[in-house]
Amino acid sequence: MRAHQIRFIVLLLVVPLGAYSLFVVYPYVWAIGISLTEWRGLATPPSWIGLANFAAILGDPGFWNALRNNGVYLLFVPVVTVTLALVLAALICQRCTRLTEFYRVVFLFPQVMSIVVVAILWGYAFHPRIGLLNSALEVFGINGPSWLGDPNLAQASLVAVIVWNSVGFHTALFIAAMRAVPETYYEAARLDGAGNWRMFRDITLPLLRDPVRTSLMFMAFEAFDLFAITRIMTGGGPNHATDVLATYVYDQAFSLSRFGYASALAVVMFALMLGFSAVMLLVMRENKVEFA
Amino acid sequence: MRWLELAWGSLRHLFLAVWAAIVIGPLVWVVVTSFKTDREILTDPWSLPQDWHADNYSRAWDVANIGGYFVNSITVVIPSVLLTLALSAAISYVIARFDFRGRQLLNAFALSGLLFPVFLALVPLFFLANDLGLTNSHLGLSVIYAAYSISFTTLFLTNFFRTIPQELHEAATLDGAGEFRIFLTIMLPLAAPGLVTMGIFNFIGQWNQFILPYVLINDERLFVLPQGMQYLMIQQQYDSDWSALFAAVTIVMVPTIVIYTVFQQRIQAALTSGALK
Repeated sequence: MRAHQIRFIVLLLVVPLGAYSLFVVYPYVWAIGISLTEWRGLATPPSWIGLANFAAILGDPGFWNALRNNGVYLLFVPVVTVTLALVLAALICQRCTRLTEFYRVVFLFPQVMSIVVVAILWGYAFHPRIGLLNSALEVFGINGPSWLGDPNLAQASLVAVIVWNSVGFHTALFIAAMRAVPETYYEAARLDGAGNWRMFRDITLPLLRDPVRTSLMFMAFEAFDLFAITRIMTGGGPNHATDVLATYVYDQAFSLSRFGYASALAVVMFALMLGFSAVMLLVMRENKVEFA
Repeated sequence: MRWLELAWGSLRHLFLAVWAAIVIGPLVWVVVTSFKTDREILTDPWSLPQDWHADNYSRAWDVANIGGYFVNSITVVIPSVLLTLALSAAISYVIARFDFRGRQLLNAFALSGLLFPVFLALVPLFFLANDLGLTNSHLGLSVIYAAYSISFTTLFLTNFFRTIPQELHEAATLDGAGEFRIFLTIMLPLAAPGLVTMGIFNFIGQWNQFILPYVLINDERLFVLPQGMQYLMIQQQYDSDWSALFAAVTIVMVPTIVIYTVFQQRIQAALTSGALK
């Protein structure tokens, strides 16, 4: 490499890496430092307390409650979303006509809308008095429940909204993957007398292994976040029934000014996500099927 | 066999149509409701409006300040997308084009942002922005949006720059072009399709961004659209101006859907490019 090239590289990198280091890397590193302090805001400087925040987290019912809710999302959201998306993709892709193009476009509507708009829209659709759902139920003489006000229904309602919002995106992904499968595979199978279902199970599904994994991982990471939808639709209520780690971290930091404790919670959240991805990668590797 | 195929075909379309109805139904409901009076909304949520009240829209635009939030979003997101592309193109070009010690390290460093949840950065980022005078600032928000978009955009553009043949670089060098000229006049134009894809991808993501402005902007006049919508929803609980809120949701929702439908092929490619890479 020549001198003028080195000068070029340095000049090209200095601003982008500077901005990235200052606004992205530095806060992440600093957060780990803050997590080891007690810090109540600008008036008082942070004081070092070692791992005391982490010990406090273990005994904090609010943390365990939020974690349990994240766990419920993790259990249901990826599997339901991906299954439904697979079914829809398979139904659309069978014969690619104008009508199926229409479905593919329509299914992605929720994805291009802002999550805030989606949350507000469904907040009102679930409204016990003026909501879409309950006024529909009223037609059949059923008095609909308070979907978001009932601790037993609130989280299930949110799962429904998240699935509604995400299915189209994963359907689009799966359709793209299905269209990449060579038509000759299906022709050969058809000659061997395979039906639609057999072809889907034995050809399409195995070839979709990678996109399905990607989608499951993607939705799993979504299940760790869910800040906007929770904040707007339930505020974490009723009575903390829909609190998640993201809203809990936010509240500890910006409502209660417990900056040290909030950062420690965020470090735990990060560790859980890392651990989860490591486990997922391991599980997926063990299940790897080799095709001849 | 014939009737079985027919039954399967109609079942298939029924299933697709049901899901399409589940997707479109709530959207239509919002649009229809936005033309009703508050009385109609409360007493008869299921019917069509008696008169179609367009005045809900002027109320939403002026009183609820949707227009102001919209302008704020434009002011933030257009510079931030351009900045995202400029910063990421520089890093990814270096990674893709030059071989030097530490290239792997640079690559890992640039992508490390993908590893962390943004919630971990919130507290320090707030104090950092505060110290630099970047809270309650549209410029500050633009810069921070761009910084947090670097990792993914760099990952995508690096792969893109790699597809441009190395020979072009050599030929241009032989013609006496300097590195800056090669980058600006040859490489960037060749990378235009990748830049457009990432431009759309980041525009959608940054336009819909919620948590960062929620933390960094608390002056109502400076709110960006998602934040303003949320604020409006809270206000509505005091004012009970349901119809204006539904009109506001429609104002935000319908253009998005129209733009998406017109450019759907491009947008769909941009949205799915992330997961397929």
